[in-house]
Amino acid sequence: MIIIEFILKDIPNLKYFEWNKIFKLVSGESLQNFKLAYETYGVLNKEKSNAILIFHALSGSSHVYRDNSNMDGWWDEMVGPDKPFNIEKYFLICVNVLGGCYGSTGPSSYDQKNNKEYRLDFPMITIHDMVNAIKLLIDHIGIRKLFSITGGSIGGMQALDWVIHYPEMTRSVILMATAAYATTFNIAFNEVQRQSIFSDPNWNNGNYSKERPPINGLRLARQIGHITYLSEDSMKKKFGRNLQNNPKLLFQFTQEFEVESYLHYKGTSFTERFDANSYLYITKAIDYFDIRKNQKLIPAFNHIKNTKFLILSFSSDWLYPTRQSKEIVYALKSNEIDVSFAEIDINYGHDSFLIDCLDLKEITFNFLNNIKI
Amino acid sequence: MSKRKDLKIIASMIKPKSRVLDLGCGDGNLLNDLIQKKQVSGLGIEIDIEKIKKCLENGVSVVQEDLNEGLKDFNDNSFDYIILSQTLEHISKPIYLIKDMLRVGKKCIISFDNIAYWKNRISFLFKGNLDRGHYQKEVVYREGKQHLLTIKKFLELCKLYNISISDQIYLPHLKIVRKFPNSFSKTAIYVLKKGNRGKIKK
Repeated sequence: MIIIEFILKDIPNLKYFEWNKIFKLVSGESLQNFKLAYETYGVLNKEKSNAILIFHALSGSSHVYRDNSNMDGWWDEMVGPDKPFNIEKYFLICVNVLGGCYGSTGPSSYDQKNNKEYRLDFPMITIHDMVNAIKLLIDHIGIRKLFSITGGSIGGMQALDWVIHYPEMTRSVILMATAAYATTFNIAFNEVQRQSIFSDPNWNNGNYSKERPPINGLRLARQIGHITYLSEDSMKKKFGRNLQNNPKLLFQFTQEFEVESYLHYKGTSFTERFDANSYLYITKAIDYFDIRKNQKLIPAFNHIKNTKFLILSFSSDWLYPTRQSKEIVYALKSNEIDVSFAEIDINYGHDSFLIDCLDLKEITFNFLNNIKI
Repeated sequence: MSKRKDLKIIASMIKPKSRVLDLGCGDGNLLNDLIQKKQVSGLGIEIDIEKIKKCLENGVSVVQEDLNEGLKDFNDNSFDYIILSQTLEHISKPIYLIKDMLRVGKKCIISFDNIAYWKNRISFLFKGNLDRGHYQKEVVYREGKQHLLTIKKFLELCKLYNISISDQIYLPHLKIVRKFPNSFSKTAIYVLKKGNRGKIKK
């Protein structure tokens, strides 16, 4: 991924963590070594008690904040001075997930065994593997207790997995637009997205060349995904039945409607910044995610004692709807765990946590501000 | 702490370090006070997002829920106290909620403004409307109060549904108020208790 390497060069804050011992995975397989790309913002205090770990979503990276780079951060709305995740108060850490394509080891990395790219020889990764890899980095930095952890969508899944496995390391958790397990519906959408990549002849069982990646397949996958991140209402308001470029219907299979051209643009720009194999691996990790024990969520939290939770859902999110957040809230309440919950009334769908939203900012700020560092 | 007198009295009833659920907790002032002074572990239920923000600002944990749907997401006996102060008026099915409160809480404290208060009666008689000082009509419409409760009606309902009252306080603290609460009490506070008689038949 020439373009991604180019992007990473543009981020002066980017650091790497290398692990050179065997890393066992949930699947039973293991990696001989791995590398994680990460960024930190703000200053870690002497007591190391002000660290917030931010988990990114499916197509995100460690670049959570623009800072002094030339590239927008994916969460500039929430991170920065005077933002809820205040870099003057907290020490923020964001890590590109294992299996990703923004500097961390993934299917497009070189396997040191044979000095070839992993491709589909890369072992299957789960959310828990992503979390375990990041845990090694947090240990390496020397943080014993995180002030908070947060994430939206699959970032929220990682945060959930983290707090279940390392509750004693976690003072508070903020979950946004997420779920305790991938539903049938989630798996179905992920599968059609993978199928669109598989169906591109350029994909070639994962062995595509740098010059000819499976652009058509990845574009279609992203288009499907993108629709699930929006809401019917926001699409209607943004595009309606507006026509693109032409004053009247052409009766041709071209991109006549604005919404068609928008999806095409979104899909195409995505192919310029993401690796198709990584997309396959990460969507599969989502499908495997289920923190319940024997289909029951309450027992999954029964060992957690002193962690505070804030759970936020968005009214127009149909990919991870409020009901899935409420399931988590119910399980936490049943375990007498300190939890706050709100559904934010907004029409931007699943992606609402990424946009400028005053309710989201105020609630997050107030929640964090009440926990003493 | 709020100046509302019923809240002060309710706060005085709560034992330290207990688990308290405040239904319709508003800005979370009561819970905040109880957390500070009595180290309770508290949770608020509120529907209004602006009030939820205030709760979090006050350091009170709060869950957004519609009380009209009851307390289905709460386990039996999971709280020592459940408080429903000046909220019953907003509930579409009051008995349904009270029944659920008795399931979830060990003790339930309910307070409400008595519409049969004498100033209201006079106001009704001469102005054909509620006494503004006592019962702001804007509040009635803005917050959608659905039930204008009287002490008499509440006691009748409790009798009808076998809800046992273990304690009652009528405000203001005057002899005549205690003697004729439905006419002279502005605000009533009841403590409901579980027990054989507290079990409500469907």
